[in-house]
Amino acid sequence: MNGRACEAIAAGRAFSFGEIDVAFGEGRVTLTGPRPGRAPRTLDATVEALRRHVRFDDRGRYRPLSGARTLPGGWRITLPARLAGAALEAVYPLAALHQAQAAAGTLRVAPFAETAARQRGRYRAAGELDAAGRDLARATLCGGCARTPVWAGESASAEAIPCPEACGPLLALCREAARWRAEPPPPAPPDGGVPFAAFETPGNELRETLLLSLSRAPSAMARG
Amino acid sequence: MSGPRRALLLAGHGSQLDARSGEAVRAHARRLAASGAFDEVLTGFWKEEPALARALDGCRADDVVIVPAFMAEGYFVNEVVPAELGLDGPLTRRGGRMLRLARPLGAHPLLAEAVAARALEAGAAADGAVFVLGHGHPRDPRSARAVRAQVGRIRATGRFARVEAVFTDQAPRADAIPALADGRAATVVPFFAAGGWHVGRAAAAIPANARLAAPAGAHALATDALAALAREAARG
Ligand code: SF4
Repeated sequence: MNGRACEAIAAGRAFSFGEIDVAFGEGRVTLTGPRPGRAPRTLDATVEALRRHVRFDDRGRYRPLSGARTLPGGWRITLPARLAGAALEAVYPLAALHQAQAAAGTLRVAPFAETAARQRGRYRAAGELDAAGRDLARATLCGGCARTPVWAGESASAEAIPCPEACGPLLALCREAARWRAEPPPPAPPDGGVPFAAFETPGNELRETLLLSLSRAPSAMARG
Repeated sequence: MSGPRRALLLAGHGSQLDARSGEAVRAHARRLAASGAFDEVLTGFWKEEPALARALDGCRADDVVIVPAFMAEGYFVNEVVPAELGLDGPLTRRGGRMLRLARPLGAHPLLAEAVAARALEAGAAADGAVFVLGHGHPRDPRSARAVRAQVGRIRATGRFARVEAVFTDQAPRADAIPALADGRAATVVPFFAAGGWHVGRAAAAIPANARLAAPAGAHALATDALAALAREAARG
């Protein structure tokens, strides 16, 4: 498979991927998380231990968005080199595959309208958000993500991780933003203790950031 | 000569708010991958990664069985899963590939065994009352039907003095447990695919003196049920 990460793994060459660094030596691969410091903690040498570790950020909050630049810091893990692909998959599901497919020209990219049209129940409202609001929601969430939203027309370099389709958290944020457009809730001080994707909860950091952006950019409809 | 490559996709709910929600499905997938019965074992979630809509992006199999890790037919199994995967129905041919949608986890008779095993793990005795706590839906009878079918199977074994269905979203609810237990020690087994928000909410509603078991859908017997449902769908 081509794509920078897959090529580097095949060649046993060091590379960076999202927030992690990957290095090879003596038949083993070492992944190092952000802010390693002088003595990063060594994780148990299993892919499952790695997957469980990156499920939570430094504050212990659940990370439902693998690409969020909130990976816990100060760790490393060494595994047999043959597990390099599985280790990347544990941190960034499907990312190496999508990078390889983008390089090969076979990545299936779904525009927002297609993803929104597929939604059922209360997620249907995500598709009702005006284009300006959707751009602000994308800037708010994707701006802190290690993936590049090629579904929105952004171009991704060969080293980048292309994102082919709006993710679940973005749809959830757009759904809330569609409601806020109709009836803007009062702002609240950002609270890092509120779960990452609890967009309905006052104080959620992404919610408060987006509410502020929306208040500065009223929809075309609201402007009349 | 090798036959067509076969893949199994476990379709789960997952959660953007609760890290526990997708863990049972992942554990089932690890066990099924270790069994070697499929060339590929994949997971896809509605509200977690990898997303259902993208779960087959790297799949190389010609024949894919999709087993919904849900406890009943209903909104997710009949609407969300087909919409996310672009399925036409139980059988979809796409790009030279066959996609087969199996019945959901909660429909398999082995789940009755999983419920009984969970009840025993939690300390239920033969003279006790076991309550199978399902989701239910005030307007869609399919969820309650799946729970009641399993209750009927457990009753038929005669293992426990009393076996009843209770629900989080329809009557009878958990507050009916003391009356239904009729003085017997009560054990509540959540008929859910995984731990998480629903089970937490259910736990808060059960009487203080009732034992709460782990969810039936996360039991190892549920892995066997998923494998059996996959085989059933593969036979067509
Ligand atoms: S839609 Fe945006 S936030 Fe979501 S995975 Fe893609 S790039 Fe990241």
